[in-house]
Amino acid sequence: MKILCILLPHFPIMCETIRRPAINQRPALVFNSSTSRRTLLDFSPGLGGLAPGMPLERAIALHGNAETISADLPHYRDMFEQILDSLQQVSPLVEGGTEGTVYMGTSGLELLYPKKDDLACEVRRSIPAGFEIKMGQAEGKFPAYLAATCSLAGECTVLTGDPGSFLAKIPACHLPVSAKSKGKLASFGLTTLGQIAALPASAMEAQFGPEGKTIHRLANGMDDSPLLPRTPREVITENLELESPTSIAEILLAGFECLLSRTFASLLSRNMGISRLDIKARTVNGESRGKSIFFKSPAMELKTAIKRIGHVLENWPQPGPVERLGIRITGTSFPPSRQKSLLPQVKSTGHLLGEISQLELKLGGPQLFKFKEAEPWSRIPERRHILTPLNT
Amino acid sequence: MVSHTGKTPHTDTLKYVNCPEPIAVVENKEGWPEKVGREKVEAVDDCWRIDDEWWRSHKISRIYYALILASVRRLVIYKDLEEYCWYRQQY
Repeated sequence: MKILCILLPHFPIMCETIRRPAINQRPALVFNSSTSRRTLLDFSPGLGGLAPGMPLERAIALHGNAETISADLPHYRDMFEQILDSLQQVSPLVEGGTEGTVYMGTSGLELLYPKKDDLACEVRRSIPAGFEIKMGQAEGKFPAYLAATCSLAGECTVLTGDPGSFLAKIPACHLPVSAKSKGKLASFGLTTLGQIAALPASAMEAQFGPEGKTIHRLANGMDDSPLLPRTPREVITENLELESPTSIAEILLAGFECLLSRTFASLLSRNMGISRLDIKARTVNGESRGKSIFFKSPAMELKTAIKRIGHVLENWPQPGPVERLGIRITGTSFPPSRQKSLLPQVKSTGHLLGEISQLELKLGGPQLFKFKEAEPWSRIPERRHILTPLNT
Repeated sequence: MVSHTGKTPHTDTLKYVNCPEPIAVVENKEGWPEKVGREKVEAVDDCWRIDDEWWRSHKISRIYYALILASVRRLVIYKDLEEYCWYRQQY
């Protein structure tokens, strides 16, 4: 299957630049503070010596003049989802990987986009201005990803025929394998995909086990991993700016109630409830936090959803006063169906027991049983539970 | 209306749940399961032994194996060390 890989390098920093164009004028570091350690998430293009995941302190030591920005992960996710929605207008087969990496199934699209650059132009049109776009097209996700990595900004590299010569010089660090295997490859002096591809598959398997086979196949440009297209879904987003920033849970809950009451009105008119809800809160110092709430059976009432959010807020401390609240309903569904009674005429247990007794007398032996715990602690499985006749 | 026979259900009408079912197993030299029915055993995920009710005439002595079959299906079987028969049972 032909796959187009679309890379949006430095996705978090680009999202921040689009939101606040002033950031573009000086280097910036986006850090993640969701854990106790503050780690670098992304940085302005051109800053050397940095890598995502490194401690923020080290990054500041290298680039002291850079502005530090707290990561707004829910915002980046929102932006990415919007981009995926737009790309789904180009092809229905769109898989969103990590933020900034998209795979698109393009088999059959030649009829819609007959010229060489038509599809790439359409993709560029679907992505908001401000993002750098790199594209690569090949048979399989990994070769397409490599082609995109090697593309210039705004360009699309198409791999046709045998990708061997293209892959030969690509560093082995691009392989999507464990860090341990990457280290082992380096210790063997296997630094490029060409070197790996030249080895027999059996030798790779002997050294790396099952992963060796995968490494060898990928190095030869063969990637069978299927495209997992996202399913189009209805998303409802509501935001609320608080008049005065606060961290009092009751006020935050009232804010969420206000947001939800708007959406419930439209949902209930269609007899639908909420099955998945993402809540987010942004503090005055720009830190944003989000949480996903899943409902086992869809929340059909505002009260149910609010009660659940209330429980979440109890264990969701905010790093400062909150100035903006948001909800994103990403899952809606119909209420669970209820099975009708098998015995609608039954009015009382006594009546039912009488009927069962009749049935058993007719068929000669107990027919309905109660499931009971006998020795639930037993190490012997068949001793744990028993069925006893219902009429005893 | 069916007339009452006067019979009352006895304790023998109690049914155990999750009773073991006999199963055909091919063992290897070490006595470990190699094939279950026609399906090859891919891996033995876990193995444990139960010895219980040794004070009774019919004591219980079993070796359980949690198997991964060639079809990636997980199956728990045991060997009855008193009867030397194999059974399948959910554990």
